[in-house]
Amino acid sequence: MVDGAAQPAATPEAKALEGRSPGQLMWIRFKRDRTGVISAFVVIFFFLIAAAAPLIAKLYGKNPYTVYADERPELFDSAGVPVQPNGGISSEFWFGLEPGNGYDVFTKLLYGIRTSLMISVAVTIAAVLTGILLGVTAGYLGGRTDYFISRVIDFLLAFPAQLFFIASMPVVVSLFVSPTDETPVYVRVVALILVQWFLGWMSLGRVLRGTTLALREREFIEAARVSGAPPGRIIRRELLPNVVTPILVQGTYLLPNFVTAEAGLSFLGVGIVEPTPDWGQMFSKASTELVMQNDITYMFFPGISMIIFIVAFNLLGDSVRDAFDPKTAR
Amino acid sequence: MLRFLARRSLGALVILFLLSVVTFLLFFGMPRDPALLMCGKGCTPANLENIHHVLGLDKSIPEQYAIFLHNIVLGSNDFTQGPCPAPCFGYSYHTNEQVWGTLMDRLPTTLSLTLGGAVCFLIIGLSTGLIAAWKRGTLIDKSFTAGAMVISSMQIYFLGPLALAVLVYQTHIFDKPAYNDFTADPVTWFTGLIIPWVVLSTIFASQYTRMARSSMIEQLQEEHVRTARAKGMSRRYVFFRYAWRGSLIPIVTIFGIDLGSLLGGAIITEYTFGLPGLGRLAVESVFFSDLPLLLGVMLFSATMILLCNIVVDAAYAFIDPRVRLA
Amino acid sequence: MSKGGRHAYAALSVLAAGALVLTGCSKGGSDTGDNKKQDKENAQRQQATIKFGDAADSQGPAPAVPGAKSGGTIAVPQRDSLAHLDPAQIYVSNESQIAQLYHRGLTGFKATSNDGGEHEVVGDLATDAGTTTDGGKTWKYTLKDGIKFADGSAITSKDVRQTFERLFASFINTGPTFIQQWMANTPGADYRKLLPDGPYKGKHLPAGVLETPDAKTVVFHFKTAHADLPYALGMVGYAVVSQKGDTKEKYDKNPVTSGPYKIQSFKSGKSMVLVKNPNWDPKTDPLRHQYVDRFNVTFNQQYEDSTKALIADSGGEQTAVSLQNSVDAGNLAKVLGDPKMKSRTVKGYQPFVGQMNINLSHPAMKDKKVREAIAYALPVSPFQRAYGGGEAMEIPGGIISPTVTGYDPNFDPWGKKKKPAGDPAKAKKLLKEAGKVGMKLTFGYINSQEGQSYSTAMAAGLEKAGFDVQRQEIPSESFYDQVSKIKNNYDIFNTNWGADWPSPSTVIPPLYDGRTIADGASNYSQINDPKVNSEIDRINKITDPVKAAAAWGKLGEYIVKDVVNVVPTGYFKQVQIAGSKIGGVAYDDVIAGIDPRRLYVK
Repeated sequence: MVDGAAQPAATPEAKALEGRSPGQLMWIRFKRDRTGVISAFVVIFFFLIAAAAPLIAKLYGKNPYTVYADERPELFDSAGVPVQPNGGISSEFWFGLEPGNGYDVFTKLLYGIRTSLMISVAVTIAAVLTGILLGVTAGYLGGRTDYFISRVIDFLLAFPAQLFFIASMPVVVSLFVSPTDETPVYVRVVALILVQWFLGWMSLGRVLRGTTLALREREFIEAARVSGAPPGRIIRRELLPNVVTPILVQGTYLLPNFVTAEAGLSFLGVGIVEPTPDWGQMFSKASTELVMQNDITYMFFPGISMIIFIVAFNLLGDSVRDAFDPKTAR
Repeated sequence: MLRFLARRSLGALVILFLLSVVTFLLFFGMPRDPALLMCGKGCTPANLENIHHVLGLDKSIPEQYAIFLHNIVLGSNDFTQGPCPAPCFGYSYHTNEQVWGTLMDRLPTTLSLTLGGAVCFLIIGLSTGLIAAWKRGTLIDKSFTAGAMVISSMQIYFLGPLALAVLVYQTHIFDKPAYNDFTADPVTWFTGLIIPWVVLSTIFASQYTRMARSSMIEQLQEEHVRTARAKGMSRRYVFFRYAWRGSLIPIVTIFGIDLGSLLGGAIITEYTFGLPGLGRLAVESVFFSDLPLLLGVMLFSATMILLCNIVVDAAYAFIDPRVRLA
Repeated sequence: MSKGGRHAYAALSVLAAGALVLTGCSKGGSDTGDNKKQDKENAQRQQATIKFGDAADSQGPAPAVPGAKSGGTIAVPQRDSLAHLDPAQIYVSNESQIAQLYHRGLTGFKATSNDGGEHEVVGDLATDAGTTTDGGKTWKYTLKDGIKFADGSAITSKDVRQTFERLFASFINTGPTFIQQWMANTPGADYRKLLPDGPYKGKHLPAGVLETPDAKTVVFHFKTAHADLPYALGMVGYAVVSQKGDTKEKYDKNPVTSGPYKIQSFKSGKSMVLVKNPNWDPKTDPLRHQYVDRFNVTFNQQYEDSTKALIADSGGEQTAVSLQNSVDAGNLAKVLGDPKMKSRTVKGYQPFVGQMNINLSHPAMKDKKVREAIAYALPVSPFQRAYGGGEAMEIPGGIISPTVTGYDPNFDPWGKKKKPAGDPAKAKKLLKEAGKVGMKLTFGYINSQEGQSYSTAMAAGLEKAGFDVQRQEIPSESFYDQVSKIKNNYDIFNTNWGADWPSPSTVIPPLYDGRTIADGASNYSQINDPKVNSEIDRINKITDPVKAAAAWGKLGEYIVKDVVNVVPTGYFKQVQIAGSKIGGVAYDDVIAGIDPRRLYVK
């Protein structure tokens, strides 16, 4: 439900006899929510370090690909476990070294977040665009189109998602790359994006369809139709601005879901694989016997960072939703 | 009601049919030839062809699909491994066992994991959510809500290995989780699955905590509830008799979705804990390019999801008489 | 045999071979100095040639295991399920190891010491290891009295004939092929032409190849001398198959067994139950015992899981032991460092040697300088790390393992022992001389956890020397099929090969004889060096095992140092552990794992 006209009657601001748009009101409400603002900063922080990862790595002087187990064998035993406790955290290696081939954990985490966020943002954008396109169209046009699109949504929702991802990744990858060449990283990235997008847009699509259906009966839409505006223009000028709210709200929940899903796929080994740094791939490494037995500290770096990120994003999502619709404020 | 069920079941069948087509196409798009797996050392092209023939892979794709459909409905006596009664998914390429049998073998593990986990997370989740709603605004509410938020942000692939590392490896309080036959020894069945249940429930429960809480709070603001309070009914009565009903719908919705996906095989959970359930079977079938097994698991998982959706929709009618199942 | 055959699954696996003397004579495990000495002794044991036993040695019953008692059930967690129960299809080590309990062949390897280190070849179903009067072209075997299958029927020469003739049928495609090739006197897969449909269409091997004059006599005729026949016959791949009970493909799931145990139930991927075979007569069997009542085998138990359970040693785990599974890499330090676990830990070398093949069929690889550069640059420490460190894998010098005759511990032409991370400087110099700095190198790696891990580090090391490495992932279940194709795209790829019995004649000819190059054959590097080929022929004719061993050793060194078609990457070691109530635990060097035939419940 859209609250396009939620103008509280007797707010102090009204004294100045300035009308405020819903967007501005939302912003004011949002700014007042301390938790929301803090979460926003945290989320921005993550995106910043992800974007600036190469720069940070340069300043730090290392990269996530160097095999320190071979470069600095004195830091490891013959099985690749760092000799110092806690994975060898030191002033030289801030987050220590990864058991096995001995990658630097700090840069690996930075680049891993970068990879995962990049993929997830792309998927989110693609899913949102698709959801808007199909959802709004279905809701507005109704009839056959609506029936068809809704059936497609039902069908796709019945897919066992994870299983589908696992099964289709090798297929999609092989479409791009002949089995004779090395699979470049970007192919895996594109495959992941495509595969997740395929099954990622339906929830938003459904929500927008519902919203559009409700809006369709409103007077202002009726008025626009009566005045002769073509459907395309109605959708663009009248409907879309009013579905921004659910898009924003759902979008802030979609992105973290895609992040965790992508990490899950890399964890299972069908997403991004060594040596490309990836958040999920670090979890995969963390769940190996070598780490669990000898260096639990390693687990916490990807783990804690992901918890912080997801919590922040969810809190942000809650705040955004509350800012739009104060009725649901706790 | 009957018409509703009939319509939905028909819809489900159509979806399953389409899903099987997609799976078929997906399989034949896979770059790996399953016959190679079975061929082994000294594989000559003649050997390969022979295996292709035995597996029926030398027929055209539509023909293979037709055979597949026929087998599901009527069963088949054409397999060299033996008769295969309906529903016949054929024989697994890499184990040579009947797919249906393999599915049934793995089902108890997934079933135990799901049902045990569901009991856990429903109890924990709903109770904490209700308590938080009851004590709204207090410290208890705030800490439960905050806790639920943080825990729901954890992932199984973090919490699972962490639980394993701490509870099993470092402190040796527990043994490594495993599926032990319930009929053989209920106690080991329980202890073997307790860690996966707890991990599953912490992650799922928090979802229910938040849902139960917000849903209850919403209900408590509804007119009929406020009227009841105004008329003098005790807070407790109103809470547990009136508001409870209304808040069920979103909870049942989520539960249906969760149950459906868990019954189809919780891939990451089973992978993390090494449990031989349907989820692991799914990964194996892809790993081995094993078409019959892949089809079996895909369709079985999808059936679970669809079934749960139908049950949930039907349950709505009981919970909320206003809902018409038109 | 190739390690793990087709089914090389992902796991942090640790392999080592040897045996700890159970009486406690070895020094503390954490002291690496003494371990090295123990390792050397273990290895030296294996190098002593295995002699043939006589009729007395071939008689049952097998010498009692000290302290053994009857009764009890042993739980056996195994990582890999058994793809085959049909002996003719059995080749991979985990399948043949457990098959010692239910399959018997004409000959077998008898442990002559309680620590699994010394062996002789004796007659198992036959009265002795075989008699030859013409230096190995004709071999005569006489079957014992009183040998029966599990269904009660007597084992006769008809069954032996069936056993060998069915090997030529097309559905038998995963077992060993030595004897078939000897019978048809041809290497490669052409042997099938000798009897294309096996015995199933009424045809038989001519008397000039296989003679069964009466129910108890079997005579093999070869065109070239094969002094190794008694060894080969000891492989499970040549165990006896019931002629009446031969159900062709179905035999693979339900064979007629002849050992002290029969298969009560088998659920692929899940479990197998072995129970006593009442028709097995211990008086006819010099190799096996029937102490235990029952074996409960479970599959899909990863190394980490079984190790953890066995370390914990509580309840049911006390009577558990894995035949296949090693102590996993993460737990090695704990197991070897804990004196309380000594008495139930065994370790030693496995016959497997890892080697990076250089694909000689590719024009870019034909330049010897390039190959030498690869040999210098390749880091082998990643291989060691991936499998669990020094206790799991030893840095190698040559292609002959410490467990095989002809091994020379001082041979290390590429300096890997000093610089396990490789020598990129030397390599780069060679590349510059060849004018190939920056050349592309396609590295096919197996898609297992180890493969992912070592291939990235190896690629990094090669890149330091100036190669442009393109890694190509190959699914583990089809890895060996892919790399054994004559036309494949991989310039370098690592394979693991273990001697089928402790002689380099099962290592060098299959891997390096240029005339065996074929799709699916094991000459992975596709080497076809005339000197190597002629040397193989010459050494095969040498009848003195000591001289032959020395000659093989020299040939092995020539291959590594001068032909440079392979770079050795590791000698596999294995550490295994058993529950505290399991007795008779010994690491058998020939079986390459815990000997299942000696186990009992304390």
